[in-house]
Amino acid sequence: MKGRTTCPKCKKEFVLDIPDNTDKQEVTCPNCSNNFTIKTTNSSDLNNEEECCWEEHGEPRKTILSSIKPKTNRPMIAAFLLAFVFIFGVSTAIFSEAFIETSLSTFSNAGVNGNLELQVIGQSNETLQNVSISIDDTFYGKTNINGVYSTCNISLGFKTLEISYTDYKIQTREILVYPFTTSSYEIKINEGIGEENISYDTIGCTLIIAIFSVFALLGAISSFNRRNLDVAIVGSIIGIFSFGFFLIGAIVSIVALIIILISRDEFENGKKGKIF
Amino acid sequence: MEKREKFSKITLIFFILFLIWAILQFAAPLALPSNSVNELSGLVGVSDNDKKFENLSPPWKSLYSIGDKLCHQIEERSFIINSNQMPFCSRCTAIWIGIAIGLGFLTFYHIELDEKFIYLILLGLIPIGIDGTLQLIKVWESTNIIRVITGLLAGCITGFAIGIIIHEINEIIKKEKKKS
Repeated sequence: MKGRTTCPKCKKEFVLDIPDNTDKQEVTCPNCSNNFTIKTTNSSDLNNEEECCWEEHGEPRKTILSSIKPKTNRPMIAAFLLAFVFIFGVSTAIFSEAFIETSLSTFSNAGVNGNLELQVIGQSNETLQNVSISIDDTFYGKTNINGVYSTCNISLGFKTLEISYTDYKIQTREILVYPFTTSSYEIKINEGIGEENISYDTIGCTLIIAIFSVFALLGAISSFNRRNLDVAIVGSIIGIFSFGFFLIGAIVSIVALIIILISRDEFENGKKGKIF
Repeated sequence: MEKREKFSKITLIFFILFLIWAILQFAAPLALPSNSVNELSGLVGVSDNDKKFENLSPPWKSLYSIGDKLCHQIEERSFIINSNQMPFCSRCTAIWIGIAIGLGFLTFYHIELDEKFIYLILLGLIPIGIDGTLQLIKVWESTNIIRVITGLLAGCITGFAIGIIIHEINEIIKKEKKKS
């Protein structure tokens, strides 16, 4: 370590370099060749030997902090948006019937249609050809040699399917045609006379939507407290998948996520380093 | 995670409510005569089984109606007790139980809301996300055991999240009271 001392004899001040962690060091004055001892520790008797004191080179280190930025309302806005996502999600879970129908009709109005594929089989799992398929009281066609009927550009939403075949019961079942992928159903019909009505769906339970919404609320609280940026980000990302109120919940979550990312400097424990 | 010096009263109330709700899931099929509630498979969010619940007594009727709204109640994906189908599918039932467990844990323990909690969220939601999505796009058909495991995980983490939300809201209210 580098430092300076003063010769007790000629009072000459000079700079010297001594090994680190040294308590005492013998030095020779470059001016008068006087030999004396310097003490580098802060021991109590150092005050009595003022002429041999040692001063380490340079000033104590200072931490340079960037100037404090003024707080904005952005995290609060994001918190309120995520709280709305929670309300949207829970409401959608409870009123999901209206949610599904309206979301799909929104897609339909935007020109999005679905594809449908039906596989009709008998009691022994044999494929059935020439089975008549009607959707919402409109005749659509018959199954092919593989027992498959497929159609594209069908409007989205709940459809009432009627399957009729000679010597088999007429089956009426409710199906859901959803966007961006082929809605495929395997339908088993039974021999006999009369009708059978089957309600069946493969979409997951709406309880999941409510669960995703809870994590959006967790993000809202983090954002409100301006703490835990990561939790706020994850909360808003999970909120996107809550799909509350005709996708409004997803859009609001995305907006909240953007606001959180813009105002990330205002969060404690933020990624930009508020911990020292 | 640390043990609370005093248990959280508000979390305890929520825990008791969710525990009662979870117990009712099992009590309903047991309390009803055998073979009185079956073949509930239907659409999610649609009250398509109302007629089947018409003759049930009020508490069980309400329970099954809520299940009808929130759950598809597909028979093959539900547990049968006393020859009666449970009001929710196996995954949903596990989620309710998981929420009760999570809240019960947070009544006596405190989990700090920090970056580490994100790992718990991912641990809880990724399995149910993978299982549910793969089933939805028909890559595979899950089993009731897997549905219960993934549902329990998701439920527990949701219970933790609800407990933390209760705690944080309580802290915010306390701060506001001090300010005023």
